[in-house]
Amino acid sequence: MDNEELLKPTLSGYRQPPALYNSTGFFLSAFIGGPVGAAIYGSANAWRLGRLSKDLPLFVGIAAFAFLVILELDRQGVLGQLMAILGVRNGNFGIFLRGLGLACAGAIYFVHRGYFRAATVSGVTPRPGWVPGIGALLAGVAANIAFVRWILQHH
Amino acid sequence: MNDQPQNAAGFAAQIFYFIERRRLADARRVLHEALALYPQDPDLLFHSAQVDWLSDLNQQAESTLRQLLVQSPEHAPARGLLASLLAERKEFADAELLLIGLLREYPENAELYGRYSRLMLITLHLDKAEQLAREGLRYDPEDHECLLAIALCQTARAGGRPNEGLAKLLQAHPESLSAVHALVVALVDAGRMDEAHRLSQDALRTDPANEHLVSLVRELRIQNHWSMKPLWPLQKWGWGAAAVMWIGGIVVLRGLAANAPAIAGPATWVWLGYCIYSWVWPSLIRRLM
Amino acid sequence: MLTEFEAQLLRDPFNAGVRVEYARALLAAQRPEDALAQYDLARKQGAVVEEQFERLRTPPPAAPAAREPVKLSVVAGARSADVVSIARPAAAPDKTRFMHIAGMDDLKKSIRLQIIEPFLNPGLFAKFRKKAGGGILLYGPPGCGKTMLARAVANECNASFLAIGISEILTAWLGESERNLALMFEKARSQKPCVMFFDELDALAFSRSKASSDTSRKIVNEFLSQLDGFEKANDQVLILAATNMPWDVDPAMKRPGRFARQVFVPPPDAPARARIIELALDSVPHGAVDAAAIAGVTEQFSGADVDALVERAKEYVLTEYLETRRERDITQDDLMRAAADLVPSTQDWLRTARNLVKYAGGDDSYRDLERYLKANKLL
Repeated sequence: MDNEELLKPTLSGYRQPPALYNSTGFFLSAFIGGPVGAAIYGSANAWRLGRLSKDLPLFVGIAAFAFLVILELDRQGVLGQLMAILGVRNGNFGIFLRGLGLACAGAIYFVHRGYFRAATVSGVTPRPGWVPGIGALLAGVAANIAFVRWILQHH
Repeated sequence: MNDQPQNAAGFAAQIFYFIERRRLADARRVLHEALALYPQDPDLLFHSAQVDWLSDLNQQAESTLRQLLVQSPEHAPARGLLASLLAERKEFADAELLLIGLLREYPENAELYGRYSRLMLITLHLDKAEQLAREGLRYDPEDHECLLAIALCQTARAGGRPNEGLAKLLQAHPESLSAVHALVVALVDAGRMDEAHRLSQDALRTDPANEHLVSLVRELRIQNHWSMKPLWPLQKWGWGAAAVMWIGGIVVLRGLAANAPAIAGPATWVWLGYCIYSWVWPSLIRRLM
Repeated sequence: MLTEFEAQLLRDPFNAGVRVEYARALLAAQRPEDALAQYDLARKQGAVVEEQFERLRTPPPAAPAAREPVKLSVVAGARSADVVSIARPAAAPDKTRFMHIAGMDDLKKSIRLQIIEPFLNPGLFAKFRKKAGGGILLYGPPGCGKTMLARAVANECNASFLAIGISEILTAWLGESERNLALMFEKARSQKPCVMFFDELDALAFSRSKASSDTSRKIVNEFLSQLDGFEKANDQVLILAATNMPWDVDPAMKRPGRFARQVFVPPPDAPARARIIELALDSVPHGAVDAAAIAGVTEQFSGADVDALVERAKEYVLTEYLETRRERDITQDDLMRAAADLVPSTQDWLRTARNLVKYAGGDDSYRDLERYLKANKLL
């Protein structure tokens, strides 16, 4: 970046100062809400960072990919074997959705890692994540239930 | 001082002396005297705003600065202080514009680059923060603000691994509180709580009135307590470790339940106990210590 | 000519004859206060009485508190034309001794053993390998008698006393501050035995790691170099300093050979507070007052706070008089009410001190402070 580029205002385009929501909310949204929960919470962060239009398609893609992984595992019969090993009752995909939710959160964190790290070292206090957290949880749980029903219907 | 200042600059020098030592009552006393003689002197008005700012009277400080800038719009220190005030109020965009304006007038001022870099860091623009700091270091390789910004940026990128920026900052300004702060951040990032705690204690000895340092030392003391040692993976790797432990735990327990039910029960209790401990104990110990 | 005497006295500080000559030279140079100080010291060393100096003690008839300009002369350099005048009130000789300081018995005993007796009996203490002189730093909350204690120490030591505050050292002129500091040390060297007292040491020797200006760092460097030079020069100079903020004093100042000993001066204890109240009420109309009871409800009040308490009680009485035109004495109730209304000014300092001891820990120099905080349940 040359000097002129450096002296171009960066913050004037934001309606509100860039910030991140609380990491606890992110974790819980992903853990309970699965891939959809993680994607929604991540999108809330992207909105606060002023890059929603750039990140939303990617996060939707990540969540969709997670569901596709389960579908593919089910199609291959691997899902059933895993459930047997883990002693999971038939139809209870919760553990897989939790795992994939956390994996999606990890992928979303990777995309935003510069922001998270900058917040950590500069001691910036994250914003409370109640609103996006509750929204992500509700939407995530609803999506999980709908997805499991769909799989069972098409088993 | 043993000579009555002969002019406004003399008063300003005295006032600066007291401000440097945070003797704000003495600074106010001399300001009162000085402003009675030179009520419109820009440097004196600037110092008055500075004293108000240091006394947490931000509104008063801002009002004085705006009054000063009406009559002396070129006054660089006043604009710089106003930028700091705006940043404290989270009006980052306006603060940025002020700093950019100053940089256009003083394009080789490393400290201004450093301050702009810190603003970018606070607003989570890591790349630009680092580039600004590097640009400032071209003009003054030992500028404190730029070195600190680089150290923090590189810590953000490198995690707790040693980084060149931090090393340079410690070499150039080993005793500065900012250098210590940067080092503590790096150590905490690396999970080296004990060292971070000792270092922050050293810093607190030199500035025990600094509430930020007190909170930091208190927090590190808690993190470093013997009863928190089992939480070491979570301290070092944060939510990543939590995720692995949750998923790993559930998978292992499910596996045990299916394949070794005899130990699944006790293992579940241990696991649940650890989870409850990791949720409850950190809050409890904060109240106790 | 003055510098010749100073040089001679540096070599032989106990030569009363040279000291008297020096005093005469100072008098000729229109420096009566300095001349009297040298003469007094010479008298302690056995010189005979001289009328011209004795006359200096008597104030002129019906003179108000005179503000005599004292020129601070520059020993060398081109700036002598820019000599700066300072005006100081003509001070009466300070006679404060330990008996004038209320309470603090343990502290006074400790100071007498560690500081005064080694100074007065260097031979005895030398047998036990304890050196007299050196630097001692008194620290504690504001208004608790550090300066008063320092003056009492000087008088107990029967030494000349050189009090140096910020105003004596610092000027707006670059480089002058270091020269003024060096001058003060030279002056002390020529007046042995001498007690030098630096008030507000944190302002003079502000930590270099916190200072943003080179001027501050240069003064500290000069101070350190003078203290180091001093240690080699003599045993008969005691350097005392006082500060409210020991953590702002440059750490190098607290190393061996400099202000290695630090003494905590706490807020006055209950007997001291009671005594201060009694002294403050001495010349004002008051009824039966249980000073001990008031002392009991004024924990952590500084000496200045206790004075303020009595002033507040006076205000209640005077306000009532203005409203009702009824004169009365200060009562116990007035004092108790004032005690309830006032907040001790030491609270902020003690809070900071608590942070230091509780969280920073591990520093032996604050052991006294730690003991005080524990004893008063502040830790």
